[in-house]
Amino acid sequence: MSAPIKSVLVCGSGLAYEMTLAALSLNLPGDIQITALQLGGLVNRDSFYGHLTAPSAYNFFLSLGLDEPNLILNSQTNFSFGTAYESWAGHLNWTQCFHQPFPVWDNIAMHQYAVHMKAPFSAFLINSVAGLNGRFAHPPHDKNNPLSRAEYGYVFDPDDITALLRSATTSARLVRQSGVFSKLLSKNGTHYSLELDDGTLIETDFIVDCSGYDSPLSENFELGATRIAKTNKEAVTPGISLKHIKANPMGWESVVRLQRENLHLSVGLEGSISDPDYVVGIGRKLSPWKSNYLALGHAACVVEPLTPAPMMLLQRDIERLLSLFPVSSDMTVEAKEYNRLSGNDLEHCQLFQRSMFEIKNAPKSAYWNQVTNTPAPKKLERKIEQFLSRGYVTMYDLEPFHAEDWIIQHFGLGRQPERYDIYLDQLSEKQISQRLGQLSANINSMVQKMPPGDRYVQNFRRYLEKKHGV
Amino acid sequence: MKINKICILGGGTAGWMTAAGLARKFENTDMEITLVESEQIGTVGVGEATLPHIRFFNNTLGIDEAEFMRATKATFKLGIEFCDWGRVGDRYIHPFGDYGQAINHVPFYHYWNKSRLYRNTSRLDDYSYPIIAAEMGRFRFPDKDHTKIESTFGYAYQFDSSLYARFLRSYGEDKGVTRIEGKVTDIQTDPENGHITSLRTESGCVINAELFIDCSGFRGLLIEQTLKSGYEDWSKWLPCNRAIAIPTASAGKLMPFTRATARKAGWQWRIPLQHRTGNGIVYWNEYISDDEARHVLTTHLDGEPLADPNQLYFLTGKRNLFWNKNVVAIGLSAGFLEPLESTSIYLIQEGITALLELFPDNQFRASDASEYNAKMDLYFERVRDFLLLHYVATERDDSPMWNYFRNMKLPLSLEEKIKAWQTRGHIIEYEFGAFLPPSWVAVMVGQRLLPLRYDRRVDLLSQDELTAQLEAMRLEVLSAATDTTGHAAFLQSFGAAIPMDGKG
Ligand SMILES: Cc1cc2nc3c(=O)[nH]c(=O)nc-3n(C[C@H](O)[C@H](O)[C@H](O)COP(=O)(O)OP(=O)(O)OC[C@H]3O[C@@H](n4cnc5c(N)ncnc54)[C@H](O)[C@@H]3O)c2cc1C
Repeated sequence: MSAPIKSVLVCGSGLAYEMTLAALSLNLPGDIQITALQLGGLVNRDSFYGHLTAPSAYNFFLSLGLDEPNLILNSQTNFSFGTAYESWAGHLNWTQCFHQPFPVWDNIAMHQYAVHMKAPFSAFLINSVAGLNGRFAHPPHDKNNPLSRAEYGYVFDPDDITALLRSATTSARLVRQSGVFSKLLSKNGTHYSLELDDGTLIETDFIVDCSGYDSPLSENFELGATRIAKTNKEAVTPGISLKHIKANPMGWESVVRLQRENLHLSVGLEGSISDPDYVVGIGRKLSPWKSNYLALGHAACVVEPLTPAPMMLLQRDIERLLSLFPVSSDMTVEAKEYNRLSGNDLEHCQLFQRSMFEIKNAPKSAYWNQVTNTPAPKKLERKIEQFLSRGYVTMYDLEPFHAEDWIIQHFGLGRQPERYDIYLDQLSEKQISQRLGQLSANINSMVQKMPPGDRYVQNFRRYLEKKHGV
Repeated sequence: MKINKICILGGGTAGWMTAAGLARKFENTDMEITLVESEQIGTVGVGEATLPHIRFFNNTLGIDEAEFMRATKATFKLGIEFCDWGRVGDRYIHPFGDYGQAINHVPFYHYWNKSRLYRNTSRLDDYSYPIIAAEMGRFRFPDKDHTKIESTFGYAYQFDSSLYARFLRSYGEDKGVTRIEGKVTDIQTDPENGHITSLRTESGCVINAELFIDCSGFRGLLIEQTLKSGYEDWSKWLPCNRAIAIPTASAGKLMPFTRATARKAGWQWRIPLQHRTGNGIVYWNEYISDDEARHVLTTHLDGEPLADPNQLYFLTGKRNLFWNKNVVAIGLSAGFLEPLESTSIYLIQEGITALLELFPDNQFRASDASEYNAKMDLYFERVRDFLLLHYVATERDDSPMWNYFRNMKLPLSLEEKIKAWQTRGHIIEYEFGAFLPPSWVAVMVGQRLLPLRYDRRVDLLSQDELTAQLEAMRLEVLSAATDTTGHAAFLQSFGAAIPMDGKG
């Protein structure tokens, strides 16, 4: 017989752990007891979430009780228009900026104009131009302003956000305790409870495992390649409002500019970095939700943080957990739906990342060879084929990356469609180039007026301090 | 190389919608668009109820809404009323819109679902503005202010399909479409690649083209009879295979909705237009004869018949290839799903949109056709599941047809959807397809498929808060609907083709 859910145990530590706790304590009713079990002895691999969120994090953080002023005032979090890839595959440079749907002129999408003119696409993306010039400003609501089409995410230090959430999540029913995991006990293989190394038995209706990649609670992680990673911080560089990623033969390096320091991350094949912080396997659990056990965050999947995909997945999994929070001890339906959706999201993020390696004249480096040693999935082939054929963007249901993300990436990777939208033939070359020229001029003139990113965030901070009387 | 000549075979709704869509897109080019139709063969003569998507189509063509409504004697449509589906005596409206407004980002129906389990006896319908307005026979355009309850809906039309085709014909001809009247009796194909090269009419007129759009109706003259593209038969899921249509004189108040009433071996439709009412019965001939069906239909009419009954035959399913070689099938030639949710014209529209997006050059790359086919497959399949839901979400066991559905093995996609809903009111949603979560909620709740439990996020509101918020929403909907103009009066002021006196 299925019984109502009265308790949930969240165990682990770090970013996924605190985010899950915040989400549950703010969105679940008071009669469900939440136990937070901070597990000792876990390696902190939160830098593998990649230091960059997608724009949807604005609302997500709000749902965790963190509004933007709080983030800016109480952590080093900064704004970011996206990611600048440098020397990707040895020769490609582009900005993967966050953008709203592109303008449509005469029922023809803007990117088709660029296809027709074989024009460099980035000139028509305001946050790419602004980002490369180190500028930032909040996008205004006024639709006539070209900046209104820009979107932004956050660059952050995961330890910072973890601490902020920890201090903010103080709900009375949240019982915090700590311990060292000993074993997972199961009644008929269907209902799990947990034993600590001091012998304490924790019985609960539902376990959410946020203990990371080498979660002591479970196995069955389907492992792909292995990476090592190292972070370090250094004095802040003025004028960066993008995350920067630079490839090297054995991996890649990224840097984000927080408010007071730069945060570096180096990722590579084993042996490529001296003194790495950790080793991590890229992979996933095929069924993160099984019976009354759910693996979340790196305990469920590890994706290389080349794009905001890891944060997108974490966010979407937490949101999904809320909308599918079990209503009884029989969680079959919830588990099935969660695993399906979570699997789709992961697959779609992997398509986006794998696409970055589908390049002609790719380097013969060890890193590149490893990523491309299996053929691209059919769903990705279809996307690339359609774009190359006519600039058409094939989309699958509910993809985390939007059509604009794909278009920007295709262009960035040098994919030039063979054909353009034939309806453009109804316009003269002059009309087409004028449209694009006008957009580019508007963008340039707006960017001139935007302040450097570091000055913007300082001023914004001062304004918030005044407003909040800090 | 560019294509310069398109031939559309067929001048029904599909043919003229396609002609209008293409003419608009190629307005200032040297594209030659020819449409061939045969008065002798005629059109199917039905297809009067639409989905809100059609407004987007008309807008893209730049059609003036009032002019269109006058020309097609159209009425507004806020949804479909389903009678006798869950049980004999039941009724509900599937609205083009939402139920209430989300609270704390959680869809409103979850709150109602909890309150229902705690003995709130109000209908979910009471919280839906389009339903209450429809039941009161009222209409207005959606409010642009998204905070208002009057913004929470969309609308469609009910129109005379032959007038719509005529209206689009004049639109297309104005934009340069050449119309040829005649019956196509001969089709030439290229012996090398099997592409169609020309059509010849009985009177000897030859039409050459590079791209052919098959809008020839059920017969699929090009896509099937010539290219043998194959048909996926879905009659094991949707077995109704015949229909009889009959127009009647208008009767009673002019309501802004279509009605679909379940019968023992099928169902009957009622579509109110400005000048008459369209009626018909869709049935499965395994369990009822044509004569009996005609009898059931005519005994349930509420107005004087205006013409003889029109008998139609069909097989539900879809083409294996919608786009094959240089032929694209749009309309009944592409497939048929019974008109329970007015989806055929919507599918025509999706076909046109996809064709415009993937418009070929004269190389006819396989990638254009395969993308088109994949897209259309998905749209057809998703409509199929939604239609099937109406037959299986039922307690009816009063006839062999209903018993057939009770024992049916469902497509997995639908089975899982129903299970997730019944367990906890969760809708398995998708992005691409006609029907969003509120539509699924409408049919499941309306047909007594109710969740056993509710989404726990709802418990963030105390029981008192929940009761108060629901009541406030109910009153807001009621007051907004009460303040809305009557449908007939709204039509009159918007420019009806005929006087609306006596229609409410
Ligand atoms: C019972 C029933 C009810 C329906 N109700 C709805 C509804 O409420 N809402 C909705 O959206 N859809 C509805 N539909 C579907 C809708 O009627 C059709 O999708 C729509 O009318 C399009 O039809 P068509 O143009 O493809 O075919 P048709 O109307 O059959 O037109 C075919 C055209 O091809 C021409 N043609 C055929 N052969 C030749 C030839 N050899 N030479 C020259 N010309 C030729 C014919 O003359 C005609 O012009 C309904 C369908 C049925 C059967």
